[in-house]
Amino acid sequence: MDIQLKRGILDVCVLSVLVRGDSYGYQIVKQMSPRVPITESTLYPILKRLEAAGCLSVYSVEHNGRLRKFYSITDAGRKKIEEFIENWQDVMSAYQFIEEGWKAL
Amino acid sequence: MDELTSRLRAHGLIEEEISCSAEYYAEAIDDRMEDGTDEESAVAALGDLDEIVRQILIDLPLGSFIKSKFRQQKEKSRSASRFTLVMTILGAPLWIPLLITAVAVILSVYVSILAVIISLFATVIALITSSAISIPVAGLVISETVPGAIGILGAALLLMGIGILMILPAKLAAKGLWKITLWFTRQLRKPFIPKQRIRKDTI
Repeated sequence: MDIQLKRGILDVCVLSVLVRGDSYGYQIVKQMSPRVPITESTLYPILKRLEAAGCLSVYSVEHNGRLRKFYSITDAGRKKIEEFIENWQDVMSAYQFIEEGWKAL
Repeated sequence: MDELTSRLRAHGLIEEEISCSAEYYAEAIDDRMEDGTDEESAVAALGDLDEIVRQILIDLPLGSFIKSKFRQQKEKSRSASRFTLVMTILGAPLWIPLLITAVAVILSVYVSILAVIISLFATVIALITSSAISIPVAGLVISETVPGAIGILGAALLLMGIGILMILPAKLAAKGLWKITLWFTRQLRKPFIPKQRIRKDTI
């Protein structure tokens, strides 16, 4: 998949995990992987990018003698999901256009 | 983890960024081990170390990335030959003006495009505002001259329509310029990112 398209989709996928409830890195990977395969190395820059954009916030919780970072979605993050869903029809329209052109060959 | 931190250090990242990355991956390994995986498998599940380093570098903010590259270059250039140093200094009257010219040309093109976009938005605001003002004016003069008032009203509606129609192109132009900016910043750092190994993609 095109890198830019993949980045945009994965960002929203991560937010949609968090909209169901606060989560941590490994749990996000586990929740996404059955539907959208992802590794920690792909997830890390996504979380940093979303935090820098104000789409999620981070807090630490003590767990078994160590600190575990939890991620929580913000209003900006929810808005990003809404915009993705609204714009998806345009993407589908473009996909159908491309597919028709390809099949016409 | 030591291998990861030393690779990141070799790329010139600051300690804060290195420790953030190391914390994240250490937590990921601990979580997998709590889930019943042994340490070796947990580390292997994180993926290729080169890919991890690449992903960390590619998403650094541009400022941090440039600083890391300067730091990295500073480490390497300690062993640079005196001859190279002398040639660089002697050649400065040539390459410095060329570099300044190139940067100035790129910046002037960018600023020109930005100016056009700002003008578009200013035009939209002017059209909509002037037509909004003209509509009550038409109402004021209608008692004196009906054709005049109809003319003013017609012109106001026309200007408003043009202003509204221009909103979308102005918005698209602004988005386009933003995408060009992002693309340009990526191109600036591309020569310094390790090449991605060919592997099966996950999506």
